[in-house]
Amino acid sequence: MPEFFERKQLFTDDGGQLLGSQCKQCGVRQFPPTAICRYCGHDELDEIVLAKTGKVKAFSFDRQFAIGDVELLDGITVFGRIEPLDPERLAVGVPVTLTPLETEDGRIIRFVMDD
Amino acid sequence: MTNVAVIGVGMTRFTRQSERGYDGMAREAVTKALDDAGLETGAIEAIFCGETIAGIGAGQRMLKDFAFGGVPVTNIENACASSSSAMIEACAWIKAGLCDVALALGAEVLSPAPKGPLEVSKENWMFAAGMNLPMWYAMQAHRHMHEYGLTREQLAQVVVKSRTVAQHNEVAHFREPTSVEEVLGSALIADPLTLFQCCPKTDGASAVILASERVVRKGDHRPVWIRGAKLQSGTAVYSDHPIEIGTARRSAQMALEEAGVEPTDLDVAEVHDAFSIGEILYTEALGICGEGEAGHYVEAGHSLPSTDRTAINTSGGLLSRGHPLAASGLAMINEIVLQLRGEAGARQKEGARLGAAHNMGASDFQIDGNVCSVFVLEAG
Repeated sequence: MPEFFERKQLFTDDGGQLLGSQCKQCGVRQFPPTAICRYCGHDELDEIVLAKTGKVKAFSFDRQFAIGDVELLDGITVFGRIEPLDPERLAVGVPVTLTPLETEDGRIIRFVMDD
Repeated sequence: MTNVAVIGVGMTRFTRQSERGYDGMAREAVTKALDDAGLETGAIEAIFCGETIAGIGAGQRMLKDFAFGGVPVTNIENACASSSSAMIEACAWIKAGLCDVALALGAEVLSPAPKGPLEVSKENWMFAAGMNLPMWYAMQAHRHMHEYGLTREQLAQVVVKSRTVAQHNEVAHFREPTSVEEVLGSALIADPLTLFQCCPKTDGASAVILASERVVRKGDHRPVWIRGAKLQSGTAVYSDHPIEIGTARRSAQMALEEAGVEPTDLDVAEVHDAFSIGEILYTEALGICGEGEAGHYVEAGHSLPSTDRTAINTSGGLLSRGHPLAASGLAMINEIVLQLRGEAGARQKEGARLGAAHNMGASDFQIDGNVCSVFVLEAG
C-alpha cells in the first residue's frame, strides 16, 4: 500500500507536541497530519509541529470531564480533553497548554487551563 | 427528466416497541404507505431501504412477507440520514427513467441500546479524548452562546415548543407538555444540554412511495411534488482554513436553488433536532432566519404553526417524535406531506404549500457532518 494511505502519527516522537501538515501548493495547515492535502488534493506537504498553547474556542462538560476545541497560537483548531474539571473557570477564550495524557489505551490529547 | 412526487406515506408510532422487530414495524409502515397511495404491492418497481444497525441485507429481510415479486431492493447506510438517502436514490431512479414507482423505507430497533450517548468507536483520537454526539452539539451551543448570546432558556424553549406540538401528533414518542424550568432541571448530559434537550432512543419505521409525473397524471393520486432534493457530504474541519459554509448550509442552498424558492417562502420545515441546539443551528443553516437569530425565533413563538413565519418541526421533531436513526428521515417526509395535504390536524400550518425536510448524519467529527440531505416539497 502506498505510504499516503497510512495514518500518520499525531504526536512528535517525544510525545510532547502535536504534528500537522502544511500543503506546499495551497498552503493550508491541517490536523491530523496527512499525506494528501484535504483541500486541494496535492501530495507534497511539509510536516509541521503545532503550537503547544492556545485558547478555548468551544467547550462542554459533564460530571466526569470537560472537553473542547482549542485554537492554537498558530491558528489551527484541535479537539481535546480539558483539565481540571472546573465549570466556573472554563469559558471561551481561556488560555490552555497541551499536556498529553498517557493512558493504558494510548496517548490522549489533553489541554490544561493556565493558572 | 420527469418530475417526481410523493404519492403515499406511512409510519408506525415512534415509541419503545423493540419486541415488534424490524420486519413487524416495516410491515406496518409499508402497508400504510401502500394504502395511502392506493397501490398494490405489484405496482412497486424498485425499493430502497435505509438502515444503520439492522445488519446485512436489512431491506430484504424486513420485506420478505410482501409480494414484491423480486424487484430490486437496495440497502443504504448513511448514518442518521439513511432513509432520506434512500429517498434520494429512489428519486434518481425515477428521474433516470429506470422505474416509475419506487418505495423508500427505513426502520430501526434502537431502544435496547445501552443507556447514555450512542456508542461510537474509541479508536479515533477524538473519541479517545471524550468526544460523543451530545458533547459535539454542546460545543456548538457554547459557541453560539458566546457569538450570538443564545441563552439556556432559549434552548429549553425549543423543547417546550417541541412537546407543545407533539401533544397533537399521535405517532410521537413524548407527548406530555413541559416547561423551561423542567427542561433545565433535568439531568446534565453535556453542558448546556440537559436530558430533555436530547432525543430519545426510539423504535419505529417509516415509508414513502414516489412516482413519476406520468403515473401521477394517469391515476387518482394526491401528489406532493419534490422540487428540490440534494445530498452533500462533510469536509475536513481541523485546519487553519476557515469553513465558510457548513454541509447543512450548502445542502440547503442547493436544494432551495433547485426548487427556485427562498428559505422564507417555506411554510413548514422539519430540521434535524437530535439535540435542542440542532434546531437552532439548522433553522439558521436553512436561511429561515439570520445567523444568530434562531434563539429569538423560537422564543418569539415563530416556530409554532400558529404564526406567519416558517413553522419548525411541527411533528415534535427528533426531540419529541423520537429518533429511530434510519427511520427519522422519512418520518420528516411523512410530516411535511401531511402538512402540505392539509392533514396535520391540530398542528396544521394553515395554507401550507411549501415545505422542507433537513436530515443530518454524523459519525466522524473530523468532518462537518458526514451527510446532509435537504428536500423541498410543494403541495400538488
